[in-house]
Amino acid sequence: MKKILIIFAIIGLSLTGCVEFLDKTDPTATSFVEFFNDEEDLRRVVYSSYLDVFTHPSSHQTLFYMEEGKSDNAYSRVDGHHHQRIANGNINSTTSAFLFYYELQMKHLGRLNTFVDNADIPYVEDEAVRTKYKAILEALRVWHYFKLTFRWGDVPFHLQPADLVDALQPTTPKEEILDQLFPLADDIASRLPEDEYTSDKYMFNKYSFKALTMRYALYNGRYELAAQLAKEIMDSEKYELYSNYEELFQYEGASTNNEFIMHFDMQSHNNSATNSFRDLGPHYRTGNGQSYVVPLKSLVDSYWTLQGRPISNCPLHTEEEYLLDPNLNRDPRYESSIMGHGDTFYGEPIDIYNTNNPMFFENQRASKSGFWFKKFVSEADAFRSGGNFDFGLLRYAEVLLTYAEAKIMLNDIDDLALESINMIRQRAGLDMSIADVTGAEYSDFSQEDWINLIRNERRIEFAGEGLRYEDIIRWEIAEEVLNQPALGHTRMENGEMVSLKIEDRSFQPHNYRWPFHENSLRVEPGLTQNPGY
Amino acid sequence: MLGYIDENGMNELEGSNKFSARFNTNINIADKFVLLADFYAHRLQVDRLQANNDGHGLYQLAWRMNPTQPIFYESELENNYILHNNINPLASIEHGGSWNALHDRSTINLRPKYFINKNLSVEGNVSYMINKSASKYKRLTYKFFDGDGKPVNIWSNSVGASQGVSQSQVTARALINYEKDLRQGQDKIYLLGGAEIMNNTYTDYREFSKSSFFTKLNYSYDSRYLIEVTARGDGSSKFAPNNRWGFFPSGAFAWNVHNESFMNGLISSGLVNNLKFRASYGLIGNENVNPYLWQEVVNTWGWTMRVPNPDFSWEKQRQSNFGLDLTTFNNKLNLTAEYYHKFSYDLIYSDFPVPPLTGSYYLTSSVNIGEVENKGWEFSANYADKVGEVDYSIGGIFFDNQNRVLKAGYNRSDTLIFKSNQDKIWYEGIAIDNYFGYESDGYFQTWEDVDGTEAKLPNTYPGDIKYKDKNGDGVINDEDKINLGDPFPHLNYSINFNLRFRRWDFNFLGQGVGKRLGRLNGMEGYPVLMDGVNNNLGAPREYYMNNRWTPETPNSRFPRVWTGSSPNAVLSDVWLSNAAFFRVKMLQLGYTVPKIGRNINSVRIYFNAQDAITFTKWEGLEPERDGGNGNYPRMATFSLGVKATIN
Repeated sequence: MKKILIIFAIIGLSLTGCVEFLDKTDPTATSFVEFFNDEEDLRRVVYSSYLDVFTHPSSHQTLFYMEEGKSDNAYSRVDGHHHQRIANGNINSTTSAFLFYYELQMKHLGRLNTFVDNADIPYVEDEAVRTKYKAILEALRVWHYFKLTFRWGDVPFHLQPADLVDALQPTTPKEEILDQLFPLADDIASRLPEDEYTSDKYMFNKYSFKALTMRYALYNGRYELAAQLAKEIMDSEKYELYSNYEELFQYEGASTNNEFIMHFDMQSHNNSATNSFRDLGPHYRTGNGQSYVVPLKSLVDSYWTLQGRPISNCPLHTEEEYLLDPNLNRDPRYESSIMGHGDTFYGEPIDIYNTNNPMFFENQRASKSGFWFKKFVSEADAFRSGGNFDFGLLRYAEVLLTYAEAKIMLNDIDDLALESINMIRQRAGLDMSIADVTGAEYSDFSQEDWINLIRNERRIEFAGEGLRYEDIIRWEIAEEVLNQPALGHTRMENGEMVSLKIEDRSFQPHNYRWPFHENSLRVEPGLTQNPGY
Repeated sequence: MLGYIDENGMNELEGSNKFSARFNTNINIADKFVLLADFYAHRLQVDRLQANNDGHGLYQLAWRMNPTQPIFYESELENNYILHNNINPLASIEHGGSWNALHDRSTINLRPKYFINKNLSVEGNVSYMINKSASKYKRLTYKFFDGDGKPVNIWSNSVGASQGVSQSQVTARALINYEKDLRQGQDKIYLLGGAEIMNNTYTDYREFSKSSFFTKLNYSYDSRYLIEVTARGDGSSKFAPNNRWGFFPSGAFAWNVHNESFMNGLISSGLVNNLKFRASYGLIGNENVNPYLWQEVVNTWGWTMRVPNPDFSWEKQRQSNFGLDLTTFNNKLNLTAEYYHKFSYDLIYSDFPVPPLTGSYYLTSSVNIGEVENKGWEFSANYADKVGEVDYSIGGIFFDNQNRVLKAGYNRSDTLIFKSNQDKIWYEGIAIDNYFGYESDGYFQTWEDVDGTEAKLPNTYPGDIKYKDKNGDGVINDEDKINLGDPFPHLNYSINFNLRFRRWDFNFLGQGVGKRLGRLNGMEGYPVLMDGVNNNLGAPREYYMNNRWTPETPNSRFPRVWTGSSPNAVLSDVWLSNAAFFRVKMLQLGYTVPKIGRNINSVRIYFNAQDAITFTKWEGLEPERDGGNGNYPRMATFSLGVKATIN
């Protein structure tokens, strides 16, 4: 009988102990309340809110220079990077890119709403620090909404932490959101410190956030606001053009210039390696270049002549001569930004037609167009596993060209607008005896001529920096420039000019707005699909 | 008992071996006290090429190659491999390095049993199991050169080793049994009560536990009526506090008709030997999910990973079952029929998609949602007899299952999506796995045809699939998707046939599926590898090429050949095909020599063919698999064997 008693005792013990016995929680988990304690936690959430969306050096879907692959400037070879289909039009409401980008921005908004709402909790020694971080978090929300409204138009607008029920918000019309965003942006900027930070300078200060607001004022056709913000930044005299265009995107000038206003510096991703050589560079010898995004003929042919004229309208050479030789008498920014067949890389001439060579245009890791970006591609990185580039997400040149464009659009072309263009051209190294826009060649320019000029100037100045897709959308020229095949290097074959062809592209009128993904529509019944999808 | 098995693989580096030891003992400690102790341990070593560490890798690499691309450059260098996007399967075999894995398992099981008297006993069970694994890899440096003899890539030296996640599990159980004959042995009662606790811990201290209390009553009345009632309470640590316990009762009833007096005539004539009706009904619980899913988890950057759910609990199923067993014609014919109905509710869905403004990392939550019904039947028969010197038996099984979603969400009208699978959906009435895609309407024939059709996917060319615009809104999107069928095998059957004549024996086993809709997926369907990178690797199958669209073959089976992203590469009925099959699983012919000399009792020589013949109209490679980008194929095995029994 004793043994029965023992067994019953065991059963009895397990009965009382089983509440605890079943109480198993994740040994690595913590809760938000436990997490959010002090100033460093505030800094961490700001840091990661940048890193996870804007400054991750290996996120191919969001890297600014990869974004070029969405436009007529470049070709992105990997479907999963989400640029290729947007450029070639192979999209509908089930394309995963639209789920990826929408969820990325929206869930970060949800996350930022929680951070902002709880920003008063962590202990800080100096309240000014809290004010700064809180304003930066709010500024990031505005950035997300600028991006969301630009791509989808009407989206849910909600600035409070949301549970499963609150998260099911109906959409707010785009213009209504923007009418709230611009005054909000102004208010946030007034709470931000004026000077660039000595540490964590990638975080918004007053003028870098004004510069971002300026960009989206221009994108949304609010030209007066754009010009006014540009002027404010110019008048602050905090930034200036760097003397050498080529070096600005190389190690020589990338870290020492005073031109970058919004920074994507090494500190913004805790000094992890940058991958611009791998992403853009050629497969050379045993290096790791992957040619993920490569420039297209359309961009190459858009470069001015050295005199600042379009290649189709130059008394010195025929257009055919220019088409066959991109290095002939060209805007020096071409050579600073792009390389291709016949140019030298690492002391060796590039031959894209040699089947024995890894740069042969048909090879997977070679450029299908026969061109590569040279911006952010440094020979110093050719055989390294990663680089240590400081990038600029918005630079002073954009402030100058935004001022000029806004003024041109308002048909109020003042001296400052022309001077701004000249500053860009001067720094680029054009022959200013002819390229000076206050000069004779430009005396009878109509507003339309100026529009064409500023648009091409912008395309050339920011080639490879991920601004082109937004530009062709807001200029509503995507139907024209994305409805043509993506072409590459051009050469003479049997007396005829032949270009490498990569793919056909199409752009439908409804593609100016992106579709909500079918998954989003099912999860958020409050969304309305954009027309045409 | 010791065991050792050594198997060789497809090349000299590959293979596996397994060493195992088992020790079972039965110790009578005292008159009424028995201890059963079992020990088991094994070590499995798997050796593979690094490129093939999952067993499919090398085969997949080969599918990715374009047949027109040469393996080597035409150059003076020896073995001047061409790397295609860093791939060359031959180089992977020769220079890609090796991968070795070790899997250890040991278990101890102790079962003391004490007989208090002849009716009452108590029993304990303590078992412990530990699984461990480790792997290592080694590749030596190999340099690749381009066609001009210049270095182009280096597969650098890489060596390393790591341990896998080990897992240990402790289970303890206590039972009390009571057994008694009643009414002079006409009736029998059996009572059982018990408790069980289980804890499972991984290397990194993740753990989950379960505890159960159960009781069971069996009563047999006059060997005619059998009754069983079970009640159990289960608690699982995987669920949220306050929702950890579930109560799951069940009952069963059986009627042995052959023991009824009115059956005496049929029994004694041998026409009926055994006849039994069975019925059962019960509730069971399912906790087959990862632990901690209900919990709030915030990462080191203050980001909530998933939306926590404090109501997360057991998935439940109500099961009912009816059966009939019949043995007849002097035990020559056995028949069994079975019908079941399962109703599952509060289904566990651990990846329930939530709106993004919740701000969680994965945008999912774990919920109990929906209702599903499964019903099916099974029928089996076996007949054995002897004619002269020939012994034979023939048997077959026939079964089917139908399932459907009764409620996809919180309401009957809800639909449910699956984040990881765009080609599946849940709504009322659809099968739980389904093909949710477009209905096709032939192929676009000309550019006029393409341009004149409003509803099409972008970048459509002549020869591409024309999809039906179901709602007529001029756009092809999810609104036009329909339920194209389910991937489950229906009308399953198997047949066996055995024959023995003097020293000869013959065995046949066949298995088949009468109805299944398969999906020609990946490279077994599409002409190119859709890898999300360049979508242009690989070669179309010959079958595809012979049945592709060209202007001359407008009514072809498949669309045109394409590379790159394509409107054809989405789920539509074009990629669904009849995957019914009948396979001869085993065919064996043996001859037995009864006695040779003094020591050898018998020698049997046999020829065996396994998976040798398959009859199917399936357009892919393997009717039991929905295509893919090159999984290692099923092998037909032919073997010749000798088996000797030695004194």
